[in-house]
Amino acid sequence: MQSQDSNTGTAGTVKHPNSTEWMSFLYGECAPERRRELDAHLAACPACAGQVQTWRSSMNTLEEWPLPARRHARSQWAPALKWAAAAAIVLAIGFGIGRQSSNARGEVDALKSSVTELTAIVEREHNLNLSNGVAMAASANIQTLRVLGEYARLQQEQRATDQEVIKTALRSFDLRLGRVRSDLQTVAVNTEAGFEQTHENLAQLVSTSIPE
Amino acid sequence: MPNLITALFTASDEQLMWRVKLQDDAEAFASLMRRWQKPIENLCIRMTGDMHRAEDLAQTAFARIFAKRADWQPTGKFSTFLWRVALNLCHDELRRAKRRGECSLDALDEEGDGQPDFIASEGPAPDEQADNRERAELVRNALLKLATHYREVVVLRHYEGLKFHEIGEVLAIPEGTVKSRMAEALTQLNRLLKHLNGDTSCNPKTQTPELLAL
Repeated sequence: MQSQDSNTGTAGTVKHPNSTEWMSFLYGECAPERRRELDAHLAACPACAGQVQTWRSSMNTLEEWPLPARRHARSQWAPALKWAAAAAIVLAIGFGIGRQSSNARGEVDALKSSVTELTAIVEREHNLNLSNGVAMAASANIQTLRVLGEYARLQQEQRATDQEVIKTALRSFDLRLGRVRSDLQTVAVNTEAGFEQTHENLAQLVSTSIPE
Repeated sequence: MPNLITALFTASDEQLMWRVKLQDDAEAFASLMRRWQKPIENLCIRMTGDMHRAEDLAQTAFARIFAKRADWQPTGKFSTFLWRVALNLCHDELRRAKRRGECSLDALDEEGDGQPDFIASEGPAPDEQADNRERAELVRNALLKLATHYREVVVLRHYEGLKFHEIGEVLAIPEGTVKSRMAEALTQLNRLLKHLNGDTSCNPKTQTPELLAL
């Protein structure tokens, strides 16, 4: 498709954009600069404008076959989810700081301080806002805090249990080590006795086998 | 901020599929299904023109993905893999329907009330609804008369919103070919929709000869 391009103000021939370029143009996939060029070409080229109009018409017609809209059941829980997400972030930060800077007790303390901070935030929010939405959010948050408190308690219990298990394992290991040491000593003594016996047997053999 | 939170706490498709592949993680697979079931069903509806069969096809696509989980390689996007599997199933289904001599255009509505169930019952007035249904039917028929390699490009780009290069990856063809097919499909649709008014017959013998030959 070659034609005079009146928009350029020159007498030279201009190459028309091909269909692949027009597809990028119609579906918004070409760069802004190229889009401006194609817009300018459309304004000056009736042939391309007619072709693009045909495609646009088909695109518009395709919209006339709708499918059922998707259901969105999330909005009711959105405030609670936001609070839960905020709580999770504070918890994660507190947990991370605790892990970096302290031992097991430090971690639990960090968790507790996060929970306290959240409680303060919720109380402030609760006092400031009395609407149903905020009340719901606060309620959800209190629930979240309860869960977090429970989590912190469980974490502490789990840690105590883990320590007990490790102690038991160490004691058991110590006993086994003692038994192994004792076994090794027995083997060493037996081996030495065996060597001595062998030595004696050899000496006796040598003395009896040398001709008089 | 909500987007950031979502991004922080949401596993990518590829992470989920990795868990499915290595640990047979059922919950991860359920998450993938929740994300993708609707788009895949929509793809199957647009490709076959049959809502009820499309649900089965979508389920089969997920079942096949799960069965092939060990073969999945995390070198490409999970969605590319999924679209490809679903499209192949649609192609198989269309071939089977052709062998059976069925026409998917007939399978629009089996509920017996004479109204296609893809139109929402709320909204416009009854006469306007009837008009909308008629126009939707015309568009659907025109789309189903396109050769499969044109229809799939239209469905993936126009209805499912994939970029041209993504469609190229799904179909394993160059991006330029995808765009050429799209242009040709839109040209054919324009011609078909001019001639389809009052002609909803689905007998393959009555279809436009040049389209059947494509």
